[in-house]
Amino acid sequence: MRKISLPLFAFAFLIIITQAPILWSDDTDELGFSHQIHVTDQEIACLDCHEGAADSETGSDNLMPEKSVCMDCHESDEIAGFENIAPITDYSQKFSHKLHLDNDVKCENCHVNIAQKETSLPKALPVMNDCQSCHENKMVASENCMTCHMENENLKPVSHTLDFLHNHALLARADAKEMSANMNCASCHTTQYCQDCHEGENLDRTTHPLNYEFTHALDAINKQNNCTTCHTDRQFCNDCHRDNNVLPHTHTAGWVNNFPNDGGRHAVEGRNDLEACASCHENNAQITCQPCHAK
Amino acid sequence: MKKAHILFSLIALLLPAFVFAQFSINGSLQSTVYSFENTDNLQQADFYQGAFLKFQHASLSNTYLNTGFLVLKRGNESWEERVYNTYVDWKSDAKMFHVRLGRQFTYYGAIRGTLDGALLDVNLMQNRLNLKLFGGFDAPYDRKLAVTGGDSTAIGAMLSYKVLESTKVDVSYFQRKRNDEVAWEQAAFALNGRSFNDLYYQLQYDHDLLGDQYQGMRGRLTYYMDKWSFTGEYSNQRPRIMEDSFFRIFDIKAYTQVRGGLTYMLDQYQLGLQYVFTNYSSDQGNQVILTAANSWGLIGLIYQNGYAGDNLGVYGDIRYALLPNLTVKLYSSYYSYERQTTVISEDATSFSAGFEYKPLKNIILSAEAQESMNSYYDNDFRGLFRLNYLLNFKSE
Repeated sequence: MRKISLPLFAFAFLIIITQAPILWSDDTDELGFSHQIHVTDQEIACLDCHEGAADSETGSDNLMPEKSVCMDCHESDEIAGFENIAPITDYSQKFSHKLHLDNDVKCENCHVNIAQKETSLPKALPVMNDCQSCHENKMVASENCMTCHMENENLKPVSHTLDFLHNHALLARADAKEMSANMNCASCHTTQYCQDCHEGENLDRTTHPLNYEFTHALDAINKQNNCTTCHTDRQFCNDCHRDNNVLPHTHTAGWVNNFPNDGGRHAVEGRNDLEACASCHENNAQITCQPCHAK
Repeated sequence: MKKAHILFSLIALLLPAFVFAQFSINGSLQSTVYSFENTDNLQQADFYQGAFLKFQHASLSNTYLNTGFLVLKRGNESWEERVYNTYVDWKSDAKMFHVRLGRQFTYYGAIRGTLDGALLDVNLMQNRLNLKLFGGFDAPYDRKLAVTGGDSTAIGAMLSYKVLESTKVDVSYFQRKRNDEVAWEQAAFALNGRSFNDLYYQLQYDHDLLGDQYQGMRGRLTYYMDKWSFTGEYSNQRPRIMEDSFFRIFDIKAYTQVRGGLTYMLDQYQLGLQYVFTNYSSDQGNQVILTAANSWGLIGLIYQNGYAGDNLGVYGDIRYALLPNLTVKLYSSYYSYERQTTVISEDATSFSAGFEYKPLKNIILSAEAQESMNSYYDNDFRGLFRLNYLLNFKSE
């Protein structure tokens, strides 16, 4: 029963966390505004309603149409209960609609598919990846982070907590666009940034801290890092230990027994951490291991 | 040395051509001298010259050339080169197709490592479906300029599908061949996404097709709140043993690791607590890490016991901007530990102090003295001197 219930529980848990947002979504559209009807069906230009956009040079401008703009076409009883829309206050303060429109950027280039939207929520604001379709290419638009971001802005995503060194692999592998505004690692970091740690020379101790030559065994045995992810050269451990004459202190009397079914301490250590054995004996296993283990 | 000369000569020859041909060049040139006492008790100075550059032509706005390489001379050894990446990257207008050709760092599901070859990336169904295909060779482990050619081929594929707007499923496959023999063959499955707005989940499973055995799995849940974040992680992994290793004859159980962590934001400070429990075949290990950080520094306390050893350590790292163009760097750590398998108590202390100075907009000078000591082994003192020249050029 236990064998069956565990996968069932895991499956049910998976269904709940992936489907719950659909069942309990509170992303309701109180405004009931359809861009589809206004822009596509009625062919009303964006600037007819968002009047200030063409001259707006900062993200703090309120470009939401006021009720009086609606009343240019609608009777007041048609929009009874409708109040002015709250301005967007959490977007880049440096964003200039004027600059973009003057450079022939169309509204739909950034507010993707907005003309087909039948609800006002979720808002069709461009995320950083959308901006980067132009701003990752210096020949088209500036690549400088400070073009959009404020100097005192904290650009570190919420995912970059203090245990991020351990966690980042899982997120990178998932190409975790869901983590923050459809961004992944490449939104901020170049390939070289990854390689500086994963393949770099570690001269300024970005990959491993100072003293790691003495303390790395604690991490290796504790499985804090997967050493072989980067150290693919099978002689890597051996070369350094040999050059520095650092030999294992474990290999003392009782390390290897020749009693049947009792290999001594080395058998226990091997079962616990075979990678540690392989790190030194990879190239000489035929001499040191095979004589007994191949019997 | 010959190859290293060729690399830099090529770049030097091409630079003026780029300048006069409506090009943009971004990146940096980095010169480093690293000095230390080697294992023969002789003072040694290593020299590293790096170039990390991106070239782009005005008429080919969807295409760029990227390169990152070093030429280095260590002590009396001959010059050598390390080419970390050099590739041409192209994206179609709507980013439906993406091609990357050359040496590249890959990390797509089971496809991992630095590889020489071609990556084709296709987005379909309004970016819901993504297909990545890779074909080429394993790059030499020492990142020499040479291509391994037929000695070590590599092929891989990854299919990603967005089941929901915030849920993605990946299936991937990767195979390496050495001398026409399959040396590495893995398949991987991953699920990741977001639920209830702030709950993030990741699940991955790796299978070793060559050994026809399970390789590992990892699942993680993270919940972010305004000031708090909580993380729980479970991983289970078999030893990573090379495909042709003698050690493959052993049937070793996977180790299991459970991690829990929480982070709290207190004004500009980030406080963190992590607990790690590792279960080996016949033993266990525990680790607790406490950290406090702000924008210019971090201090940490680490305690561990069990199979991996008993350890109590403290460390601190400061990078403080004294002036807009001058940053001082200080690092220190002290570990008192005893590995269970050796039963020898050791102390390890480290200290480094340095600075980064930016006299001009495109020049960064840095220097650092590094010292590490161990009560049982040795005292190691090193010096790092570096000049970074930042290139940010666009021809008119």
